[in-house]
Amino acid sequence: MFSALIAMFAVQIFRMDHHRWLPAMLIEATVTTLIPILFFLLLRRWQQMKAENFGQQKVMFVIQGLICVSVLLMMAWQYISRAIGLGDANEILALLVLQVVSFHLAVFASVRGFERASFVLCGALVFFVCCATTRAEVLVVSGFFAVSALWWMAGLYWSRLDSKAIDGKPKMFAVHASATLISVVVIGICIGLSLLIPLAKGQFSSAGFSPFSGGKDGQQDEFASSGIGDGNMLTAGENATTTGAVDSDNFIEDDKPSIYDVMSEQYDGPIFRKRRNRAVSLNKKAKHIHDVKESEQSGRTFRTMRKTGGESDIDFEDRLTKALFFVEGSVPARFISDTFQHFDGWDWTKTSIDGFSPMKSRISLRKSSDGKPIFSLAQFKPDYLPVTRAHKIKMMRLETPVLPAPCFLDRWHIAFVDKEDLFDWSDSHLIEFSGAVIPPKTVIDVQSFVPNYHLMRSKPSFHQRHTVGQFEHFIDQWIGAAGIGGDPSVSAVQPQARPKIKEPDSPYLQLPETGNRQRLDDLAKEFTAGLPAGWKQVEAIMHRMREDYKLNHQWKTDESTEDTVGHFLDQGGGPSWMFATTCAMVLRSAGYRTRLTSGFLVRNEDYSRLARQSTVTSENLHMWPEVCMDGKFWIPLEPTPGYPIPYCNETFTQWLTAKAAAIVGWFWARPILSLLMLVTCCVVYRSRIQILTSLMLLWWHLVRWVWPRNLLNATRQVIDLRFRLAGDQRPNSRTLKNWYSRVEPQGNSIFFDLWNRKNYCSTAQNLTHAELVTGCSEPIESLNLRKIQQFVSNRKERETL
Amino acid sequence: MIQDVNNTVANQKIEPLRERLNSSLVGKEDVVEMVIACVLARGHLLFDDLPGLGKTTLAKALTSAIGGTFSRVQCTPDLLPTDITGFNVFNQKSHEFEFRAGPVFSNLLLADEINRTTPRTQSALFEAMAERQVTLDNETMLLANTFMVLATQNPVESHGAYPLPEAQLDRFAIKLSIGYPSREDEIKMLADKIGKSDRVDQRPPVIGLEELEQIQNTVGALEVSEPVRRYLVELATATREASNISLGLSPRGVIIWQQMSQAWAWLQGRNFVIPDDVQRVAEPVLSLRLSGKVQDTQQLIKEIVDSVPIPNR
Repeated sequence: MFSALIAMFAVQIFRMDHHRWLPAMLIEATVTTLIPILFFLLLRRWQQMKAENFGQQKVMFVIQGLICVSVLLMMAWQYISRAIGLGDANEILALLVLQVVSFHLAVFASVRGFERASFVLCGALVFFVCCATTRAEVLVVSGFFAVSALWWMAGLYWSRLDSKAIDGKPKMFAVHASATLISVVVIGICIGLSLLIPLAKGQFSSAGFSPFSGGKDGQQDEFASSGIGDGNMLTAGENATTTGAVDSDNFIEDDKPSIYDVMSEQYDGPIFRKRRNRAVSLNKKAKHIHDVKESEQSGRTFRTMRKTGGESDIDFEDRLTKALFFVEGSVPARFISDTFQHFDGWDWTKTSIDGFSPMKSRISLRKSSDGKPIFSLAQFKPDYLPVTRAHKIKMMRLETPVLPAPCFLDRWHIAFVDKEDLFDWSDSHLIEFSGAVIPPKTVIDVQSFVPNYHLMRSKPSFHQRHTVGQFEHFIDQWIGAAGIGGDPSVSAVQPQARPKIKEPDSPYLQLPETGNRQRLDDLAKEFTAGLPAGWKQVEAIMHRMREDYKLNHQWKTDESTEDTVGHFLDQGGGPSWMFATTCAMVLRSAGYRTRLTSGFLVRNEDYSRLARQSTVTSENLHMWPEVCMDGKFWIPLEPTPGYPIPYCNETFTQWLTAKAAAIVGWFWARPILSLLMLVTCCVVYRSRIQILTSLMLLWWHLVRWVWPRNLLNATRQVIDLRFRLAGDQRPNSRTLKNWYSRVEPQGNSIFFDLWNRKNYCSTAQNLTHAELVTGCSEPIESLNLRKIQQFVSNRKERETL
Repeated sequence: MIQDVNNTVANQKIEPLRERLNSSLVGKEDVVEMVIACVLARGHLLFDDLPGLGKTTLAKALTSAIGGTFSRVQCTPDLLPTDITGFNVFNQKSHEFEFRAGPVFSNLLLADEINRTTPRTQSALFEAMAERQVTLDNETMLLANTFMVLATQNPVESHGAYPLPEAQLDRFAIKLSIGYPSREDEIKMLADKIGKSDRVDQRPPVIGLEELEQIQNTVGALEVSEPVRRYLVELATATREASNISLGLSPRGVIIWQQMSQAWAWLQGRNFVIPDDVQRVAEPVLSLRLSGKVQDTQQLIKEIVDSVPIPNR
């Protein structure tokens, strides 16, 4: 049974690669697992009802018939699910049929030969799945299977040695060859019939584990990726990890320079054009494609590709990727493209940074242990950034010189690129490429830090808000320094140096002239009330924004609106950029240096299980505020409800502590409700015995009216529970009469007799409902909880004496 | 209790036997009930107790209460196997060997102080007890269907005594200890004894052999459901797997246990066996087969019964 379950897991994990909707698959797997168990229980019930002269051959036929029914049910479900676009390919279906059969055999393993047959089938399934997939989970599962196989075989060996015991021989049914043959034939016919179901039905195609293109008439299926002609090789150009020969933007020549051209001397020279034998005129659809060449002589557009003969059916619209860049690595993740400091009440702009600015660490180039050139920022890793994570970015249509770096960037690497001056800081505190744009197809490995919010909450240096006091003015005058942000080498050498603050002139604390400042201050005070200065206040502001305001992309400002933030607050929500703006203003009002960042938010939905990467398009554009608390790193925030909180790291203990604190906080915030709950819990605990016995009595009455056949058993359950609650639980080896008679020596004889006849006598006794109820009511009334408790206490007294 | 009508009628036939035995052995109703169960289960009975507690009295009362032939053997060290089974003698007149039947050819055989005779003589009872037949000079002679051995032994004395081997013990159905009577019962016993002789009870039998055989057949056909049979086997397996028992219950012992359970169920007025019956007869059946001191054996049996869950609990 265990092996069959493992085989089921292996098949389902393998199937995950090919199925469209995971929940449906899991539900289906659960149902197919439960059906044989249900069959087993029904069959056992039937066997108990007809215990005498049990027809073994009949049972054999029934079991195999049930297997056929299960297979037919699965076929029917496949037919339906294909119609609604969820079906599996035929190969997967065949695997599933084998899995279902093996599971049935395992459930009915007491039948002679079924256990071994199930084991052989399961072994074959696991072995096949292991060969057909590279998923690590399958390898782990197969490891478990191997262990269980060894265990099973050892058990088989020892059970043979133990066969001398009286009960050593399992109860088995003889397998009837004709029954098995009929079952095999029926299952074979089922599989054959299922193959006749047209795959292209519903205008879609399914992918199995054999090469499969999806059919000419059917719509191209996203899972049909392992076949010939439209498989991985074709789409390799859209893979974040490839820079190989197929990177030709889907067969269309590209005159844009690669990053290697940028590094070469020919970058500024004329573009070398390949000579072609023939040129093929493009259709109208393809004319907007930037890769298309234009003939200088005739002004016509051409595709520099050999004509394949006949009318081309390639839809260029579909072939061209909409991706700005691809990302390989964990999501959700944020990639910054621009930052803004100044807000005039209507627009965010970049102003020249005058006053405080976080440090710009020196960009250094060094070689890794395996010789790879790595750009890194010379900065000390603060303790609140304990771990790192890595992403691989492949630039596609994003035309920008700014490195789309994740938050808390630490280092990055481009294969064979080792020019130190290729990247530098921009005025917006972003890493910028020295050319006009980062060339498409450039693959960049980036590594960034991951913050730990729990450490940030307790970080002392975060607890000081950056408001200007007399002491700070004195320090500024004493140091006599102007704003930093100039010489990067200084910051690299003295990364721990205290930033010279010149506030409130810092652009990161600027508030718009328009609008009601007092309102922002009030909001800031309201959101941070009772909290110590530092990350807890920042978090509180962010969470209140998420909780109190509603996201609505339709709510926008018009030209007449002068105060965007006020408008947002009045209407109680707005689009995401208004959330970011308002949050930034509240944070600044609370004294935290804040900027607005635009970039790309890659969410879980953007990740493709099949491609194992995320595609970033213009739809991923997003804005969020960032706050700087230690003068070194900008910490992203997400005030917009529905968008993921920036990725953070936490240990299990921290997670547990946070959850516990949240629960305590919830109760603390609702004292009356908490008190009521506490009192209720106490009352329930003190009266638990009475409540339980009352509930059981209710259950007994329910059975009495609805299911009188089970009244004897219900009576036994109620009395047993009473004994248990009285601290005198009936042991497994004691009979009802033996145990109950201690309390009521002369009573309940009718109940005992009914119970014994039901369980140990094959002669049917025709009892009326009234007789049954009378017999069962007697112990319910005579063996009440108080009497049992009295008996137990008397017995304890006697034992003490 | 809802009793089976036929069983109730049959039980009435047993009632005189019960009264006769109870009048002979005052205050030991439980022992008497178990003796009757053993008779109904066609088992052989071994009384194992101290001298003077009424072993022989009860055995004699039983023999006098049941019709048919009765034999008694006072086992001594010089007793020979042929003194029990019988022997062939040469008839000078007819010039042929004639068989002189021994005391085993009876319906009830009382082997008093059985452990005082030698193992050689004890072994003479093997075939008679297990197969109800005797083989002498290559000639096999069947015994009565109701043949039963009542044996007594004194567990205390060791000088001049020969403990019964396990194979012999296994042929008995149960072992009973009578124990001292209570004060009130002892006073009553003394009162009853005044003016009465020690002679064997001369009253006529209260139950005939045919009647007894009929009841025995009924008892043997009582229903034992599959869960109860499984329960019996589980208990037997527990005796075999117990670490402090060197020799577990044999299959013959399980069969006897089932027969005793059937008899006990019949005496309770039921026509099917329940786990209570199995548990009730566990001690007399197992104490014969599990070695050790009496107190230890009782505890051991209790542990074994407690270790096996009852079916359909």
